[in-house]
Amino acid sequence: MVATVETITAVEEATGKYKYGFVTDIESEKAPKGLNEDIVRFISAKKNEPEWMLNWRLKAYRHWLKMPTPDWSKLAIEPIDYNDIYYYSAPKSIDKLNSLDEVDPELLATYEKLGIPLSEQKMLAGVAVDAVFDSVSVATTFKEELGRAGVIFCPISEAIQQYPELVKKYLGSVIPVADNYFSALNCAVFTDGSFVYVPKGVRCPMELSTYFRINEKNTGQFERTLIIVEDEGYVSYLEGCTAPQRDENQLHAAVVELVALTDAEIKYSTVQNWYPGDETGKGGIYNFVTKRGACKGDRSKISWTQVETGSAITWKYPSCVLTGKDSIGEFYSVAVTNGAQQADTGTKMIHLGEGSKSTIISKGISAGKSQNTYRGLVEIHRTADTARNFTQCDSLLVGQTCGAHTVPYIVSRNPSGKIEHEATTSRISEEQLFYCLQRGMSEEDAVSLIVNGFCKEVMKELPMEFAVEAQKLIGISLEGSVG
Amino acid sequence: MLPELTQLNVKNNWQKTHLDNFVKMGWPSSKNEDWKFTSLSQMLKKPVEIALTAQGDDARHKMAPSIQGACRVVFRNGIYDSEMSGGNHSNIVISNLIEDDDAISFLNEAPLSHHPVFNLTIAAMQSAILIDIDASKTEPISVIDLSFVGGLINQSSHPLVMIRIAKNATVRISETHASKNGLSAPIVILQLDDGAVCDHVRCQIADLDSSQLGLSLVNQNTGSDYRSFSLTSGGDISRTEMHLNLNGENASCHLSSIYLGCEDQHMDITTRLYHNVANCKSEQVIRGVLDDRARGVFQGKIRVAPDAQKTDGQQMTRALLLSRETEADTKPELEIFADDVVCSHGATIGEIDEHQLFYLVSRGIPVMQARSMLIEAFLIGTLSQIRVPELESQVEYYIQDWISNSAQMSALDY
Repeated sequence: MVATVETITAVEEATGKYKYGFVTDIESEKAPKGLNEDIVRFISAKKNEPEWMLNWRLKAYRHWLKMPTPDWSKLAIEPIDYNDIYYYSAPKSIDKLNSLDEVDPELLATYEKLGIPLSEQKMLAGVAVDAVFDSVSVATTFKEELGRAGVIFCPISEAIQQYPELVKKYLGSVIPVADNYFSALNCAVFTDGSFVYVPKGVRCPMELSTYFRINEKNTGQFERTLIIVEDEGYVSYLEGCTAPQRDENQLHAAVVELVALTDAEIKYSTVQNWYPGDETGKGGIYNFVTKRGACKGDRSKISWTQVETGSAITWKYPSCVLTGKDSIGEFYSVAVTNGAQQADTGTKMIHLGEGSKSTIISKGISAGKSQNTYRGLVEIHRTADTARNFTQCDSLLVGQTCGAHTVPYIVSRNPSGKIEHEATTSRISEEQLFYCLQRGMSEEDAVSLIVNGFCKEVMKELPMEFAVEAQKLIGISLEGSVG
Repeated sequence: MLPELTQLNVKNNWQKTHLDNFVKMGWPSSKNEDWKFTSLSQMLKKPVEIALTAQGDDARHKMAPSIQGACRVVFRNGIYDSEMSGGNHSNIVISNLIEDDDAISFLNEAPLSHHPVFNLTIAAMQSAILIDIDASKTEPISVIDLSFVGGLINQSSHPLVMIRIAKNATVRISETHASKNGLSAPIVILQLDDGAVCDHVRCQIADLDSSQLGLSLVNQNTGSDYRSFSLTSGGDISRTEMHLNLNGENASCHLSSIYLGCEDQHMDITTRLYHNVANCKSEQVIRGVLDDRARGVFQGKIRVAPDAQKTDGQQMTRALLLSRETEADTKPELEIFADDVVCSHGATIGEIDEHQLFYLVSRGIPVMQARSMLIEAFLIGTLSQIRVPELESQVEYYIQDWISNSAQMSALDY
């Protein structure tokens, strides 16, 4: 591969710009490149999966083969060669880790650099981390404390072994195997991810967190997350992403399924900072994510909060299916694009239950030569009497070469439902900028401050651990966009 | 079903090209993003052939708003009727569009070669009329009354009208679609030259047995001002589509639209607004009322080109649902490539506000009357945009009539 040489130079040139750009040198165990039924069988065998799981994967794979690549988004995507990707790569010697000391020190050093609160930091941060390093979970902390509360928080591969009944019941129940092109691909080849189960009446004692990393060259990252919260349970889940510098486009197709039963609440927060590629967009991550939550029980609530600053291409629509009576769906999003990034992101709120409510607040910021699209669907079905939706999408343009687009779909089949939608597009006001500059701020700081103010409504929804990081990220993402 | 295209006798290569385009692409399915909410499958089940003679009259057309003393241009069954047309206007010159090279090249350059109605109507048209309006003559305001009447069972009509408004001319246009039956797919094109002012009132009040697929194209040059009001209430399936290009700086447009749907009607209002240059202003106001099992669709796109700085583009759409079985689908879209712009859209969908109704009823107003008052209040604001008083009162009367019919029907529910 020419990529090897290019990668080295690219890394050397760009490390200064991309804070998290480094490649950890750990031997990996890999499946051969390419995608076919044998690879699916190989992954399933590697994971020691039962028969039903393999069949499920094969069913998804066969569906995927028949599906066309979606082309409806406002994204210019180079055709992806699915046979030029490694679908399985695992850091070696991962079996039976008893404590963190047994984790490869180089791996730990990587987390140090990222500021992940493992080892001592974990106590200070008070966060249980299920770190996914190149598709395999290597360390899980705070197990005991969670165990006492009855909360299950483990890699999904482990859950398939230990809690097959739960997995069988809920996996694919929110996002069916043939839901869409990328989710079908994920079903076939997912390697690992997180599994959370909160039993009846339990408030999860801490915020759960997983840091995903893409490390091995040409490795598609296919994460699978399943969160189930039983009656009156509560969980707050944090997902954060940083990825090393890379030359070739990397494919990331994750699936996240949430299930909230009666009176249950799930809060899912994401900070996404995958490598966005160089000035021309070369080398950035392709991020195709399917996230959906089912508010199955009455008065259940699912809240999505996301801060999207990375990836060359973002294709992501965290959605809520509001089946329960008086259930609540929320979506708070900040999407920042700069350079040659393209983002097509938004949400779907499907109102089926009587009295269901949803709120959508989306803030899009585009700078450089980037394109930023909000795409959303609000649907009120016949059964959803007195359903209520409020949507606000604001776009901010920085510079003359970027684009900001809004594509909302609003469908109402029930007159007692009320839908309100507002969207605005504008640029940073000159008065605000002048005010900041006049008080001695640099232009970059001023833009960062104004943009953070513009996003305030969403940022305040983030958990404490993320709020500070996210504010910094927005500033970093907009570097080089002014002046 | 498709009109009998094989038997269609196209007169020239130009029409042949569009016929080939149409045959190649066919009618759009709901997989086509532009037709996502509007399925033509029911309409296509009816056998249709292209109307070749100017038959059919319609009493309904007499109810349609019109302007006294206007220059009349009448199409019956899609064919220009010179006997019914007339009226003297020194500013207005009417000619055959096919013989005008500029008009043909304008149509060839219009980026609509993928559009089913555009292709079909050009291929199948029996009359194409070009109207030139010149301001250098005596009359300060030119008035045109454009009527599309007739419509026979199983026939489709495809009239084409282009109106060119010269520099600094002022024109008022009343456009009426009142066919009784069949499929009507008219194309109306307006070109506003520098500083031209146009007030346009379009009423589509066809019978519920007819299908209406109207397409309008408006191009505006520097400093021109276009103000349109559109009322859509007829047709079992009806699509009112407008493409508007702001091609000259300081041009402005204001589009207001009302759709009134009842029974099993499907009403589609689609607008495509292109801000191609800087310093233009556009405003759109859409109000829809849906009763019985009617379905209303609004799709509105505002596109701001990379150099179109200082653009002001506003859009507001509201739908009022009167019955449990209605459906309203809305897709307001912004596509923005310039940074110094102010663009917004808003959309609401809901039913009559209970509190407002209670307020009126508690003051002794009968519930049905109160309901009618609230529907009227919801719609009436848009009428103030009509700058031709005699049309305004006629449209208002038509709307009141529609509301009272709707009230009579739903009085049974109360």
